[in-house]
Amino acid sequence: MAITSFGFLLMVCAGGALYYILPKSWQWAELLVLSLVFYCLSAEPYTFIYILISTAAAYICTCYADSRRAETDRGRKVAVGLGAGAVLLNVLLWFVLKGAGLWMPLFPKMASMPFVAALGMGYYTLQMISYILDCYWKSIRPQKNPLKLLLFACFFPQMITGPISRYSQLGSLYERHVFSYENLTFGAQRILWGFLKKLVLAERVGILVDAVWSLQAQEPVFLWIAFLLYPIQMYSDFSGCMDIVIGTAEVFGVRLPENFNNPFFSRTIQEFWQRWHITLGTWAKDYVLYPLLKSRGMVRLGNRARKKLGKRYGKFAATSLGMLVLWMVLGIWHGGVNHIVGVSLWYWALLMLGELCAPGLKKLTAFLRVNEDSFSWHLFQSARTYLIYAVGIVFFRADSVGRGMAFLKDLIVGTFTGNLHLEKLFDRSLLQLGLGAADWGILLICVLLLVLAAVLRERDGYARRWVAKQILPFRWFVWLGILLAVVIWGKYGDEYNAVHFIYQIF
Amino acid sequence: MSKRQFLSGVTFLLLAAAVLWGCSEIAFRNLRVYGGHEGFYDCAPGTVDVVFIGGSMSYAAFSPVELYEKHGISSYNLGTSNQSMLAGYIWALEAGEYHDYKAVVVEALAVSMSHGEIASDIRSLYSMGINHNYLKLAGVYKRNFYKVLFPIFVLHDGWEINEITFKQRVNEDSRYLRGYIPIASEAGEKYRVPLVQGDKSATAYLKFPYLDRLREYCDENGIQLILVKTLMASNEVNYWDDGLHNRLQEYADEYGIPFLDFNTAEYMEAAGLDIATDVAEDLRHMNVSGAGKVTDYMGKYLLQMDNLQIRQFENPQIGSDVIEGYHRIIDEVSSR
Amino acid sequence: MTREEVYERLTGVFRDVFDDDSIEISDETTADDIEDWDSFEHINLVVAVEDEFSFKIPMGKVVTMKNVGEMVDIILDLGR
Repeated sequence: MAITSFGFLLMVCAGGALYYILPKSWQWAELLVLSLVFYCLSAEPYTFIYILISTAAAYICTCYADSRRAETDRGRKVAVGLGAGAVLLNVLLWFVLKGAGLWMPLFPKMASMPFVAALGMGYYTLQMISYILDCYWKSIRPQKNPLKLLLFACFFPQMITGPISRYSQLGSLYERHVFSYENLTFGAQRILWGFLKKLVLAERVGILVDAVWSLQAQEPVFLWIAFLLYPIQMYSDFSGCMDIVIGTAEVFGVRLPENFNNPFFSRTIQEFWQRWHITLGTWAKDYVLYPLLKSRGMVRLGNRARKKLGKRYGKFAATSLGMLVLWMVLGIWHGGVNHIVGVSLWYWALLMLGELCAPGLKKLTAFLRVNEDSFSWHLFQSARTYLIYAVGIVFFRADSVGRGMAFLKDLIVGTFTGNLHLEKLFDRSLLQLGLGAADWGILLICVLLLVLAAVLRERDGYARRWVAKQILPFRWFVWLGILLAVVIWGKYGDEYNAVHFIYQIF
Repeated sequence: MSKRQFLSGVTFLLLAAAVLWGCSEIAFRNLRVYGGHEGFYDCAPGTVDVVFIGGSMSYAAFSPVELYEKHGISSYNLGTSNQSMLAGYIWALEAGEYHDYKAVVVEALAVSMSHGEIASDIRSLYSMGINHNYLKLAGVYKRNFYKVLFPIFVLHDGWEINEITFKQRVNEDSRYLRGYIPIASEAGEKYRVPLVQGDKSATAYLKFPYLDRLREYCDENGIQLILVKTLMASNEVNYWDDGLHNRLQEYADEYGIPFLDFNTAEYMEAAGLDIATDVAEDLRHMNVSGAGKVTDYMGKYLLQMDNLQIRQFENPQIGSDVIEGYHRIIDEVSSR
Repeated sequence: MTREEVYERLTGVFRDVFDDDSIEISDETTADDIEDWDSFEHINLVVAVEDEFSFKIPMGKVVTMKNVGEMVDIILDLGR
């Protein structure tokens, strides 16, 4: 069941109504039932067993570690063994079922994966690992009710696409919720906004990007369009999805962590990763980078490097190694060799380069008397970050490293050999890319709306809160307008297409 | 939640529904080129004796004004583009609420399109407004009932907002044509081989759920059901051949329903049809000349049926001005 | 170890890690107050603190500590 489907909306409406009618102490149980229903409607029901295994492993080891038996020396060892085993089990299950792209090429005889992975495996696996580690690090007390823990693993809005929540962030999942008009309207508005991003904007940009990528020989100017628009597709697609997810949870009174914070306003690529897919980034930082850099081996390595290379470069060597591991983990999580080589290495190299050059650049901007607080300097920095990001995700879009390289090569060679043909922007050639003039207009309007919402958000926290402060006719105009835009311009359903028209004239 | 919040929430939802409904109306008005039957409701109650249902083959072949002029029979053509048997059946029910009609003529290609395309069905029926007959669609497309209530959900795909969006488009010709749509072009000499060759061994698979219902409805109300396949030259897009002919003939024989297939040598000859001159260039629909002949034949056929009492009366709604207007349109189309 | 002693040693660690001899810290100092204190330097800082005081700060505390005051509390707690 897609979260953009009518069935999903219906489930949220019916589930939401029941939620506030039921006794408050049953609410979490209803969420669990809804999650199971959602799972069965969206995936092969039997694959739910993997979620059960993960949850059971996490439950057993954390409960043991919290029990009296773990207080003896031997018990402590057993607890640590169990915890390590549970984490390993989670990782292995994920790797075998979901990381098939990585190990499959080693077994050329295997034509296809014999088992189907569970839905949302990449997300709940990370959640479970964070839960186990948080318990062992004593940041949280383990959940003693296994069904409540299961709900944490499979809570339906976030199950397919995240955000990757921490157990400590989801306390509201088990609380008693009184019906709140604010939650309902804010949730619904957020869902609607997500629909606009996903169905109206992302799907349209997708048509353009696909059109350019599907052709072999391409006008460089079209390549530029696909290159520059793909980040917008990624953002509106993924963050639109997050809006639907977070809005849905809000209807049930559950607050999920934010996954995006106006990433394209970032001034550096490092800041970008703190604003883009936030929950994945902080997960990797807290559970991969920190433990690694804090580990005895890394500390020793860092000390040795500092002695040999001096303080600055020694520290740099240690952090860059840590970051390399972090980016490799992110690359593996995204699955696929091209992601590891193209995306991860690129961002890692750029980040490290930025770190190395930072002092030099600082001197340069001081020498040039650049006003670092000016709007234009921010704009320049944001544009630079955008381009760096855009280069990386070329490899996200390409099916192989070679294809991504070829794309970038065509882009650059075409631009610098005088074949840019900018006139193609104005002679209606753009209409060959699958979007009519009206669609281009809609695309532009949506991008402007997104920018407006982002500015409001940067200033006021939430664009919705800004709208809520306005007079009623304006508010209703805004939300009805978005509703209509989604209904009329949204790319959903395929019952009706141009073919019907051509046919119908006979 | 306070009373105020509840009220404002409900008001907002009602407003949203009204806006969506309004959009459906505008989109529908702009999207359909043919096949809207608002004009049908202008007919005085009890004045229609014969209704034609079916897809575009139907509205291209049966001309009610021609039928009245030559034989004095009052009829209406309720054909719509891509009309399925389901939509045709619902139109037959709708017509029965206003007129005590005696015969319903089904263009047989509709039988092969039992139902299935919600967009076509909505477009076929939407001009009756959202009434209890139209809402039968919601019972068929259960999971998509919201699309039936708010057709904008299916119409939005092909709808571009432009200068014609807000222009009221009334089918002014509907008074003169009564659902018929004339086509002028000709298939040409290349096409002389009939689609139905008389091969008795050929068979095909057809499902009859809505034809069954229509048959039962006709039995209950004393309406004569007649199946007609209009003349075609090609079966590349819309399929007609010996197999389908035989299967439908079998069904017709089983229930004693008359079945006139103008693709067979027998009826082609009887109506004086010629594929080269009576079928349109698209090879699927009958042109003005063919429609004239088929309509004339149908008039004679209806009047000679033993158990059928069709009135030949002066219908004030098809006066000399209407007949004049009709011929003006036909001449205009033919001279194009 | 008194709070003052911890502060004295901690200031040294901060100045060393952030390469800035003018850094002064107080209970309320957070990552926002020191320009280079990002998520990277945070872990470097933790490692340097562990080195200085010769004990391990548990992971759970590493992620949750919000300001220097909390860090001092942890150090005092562990150094007891």
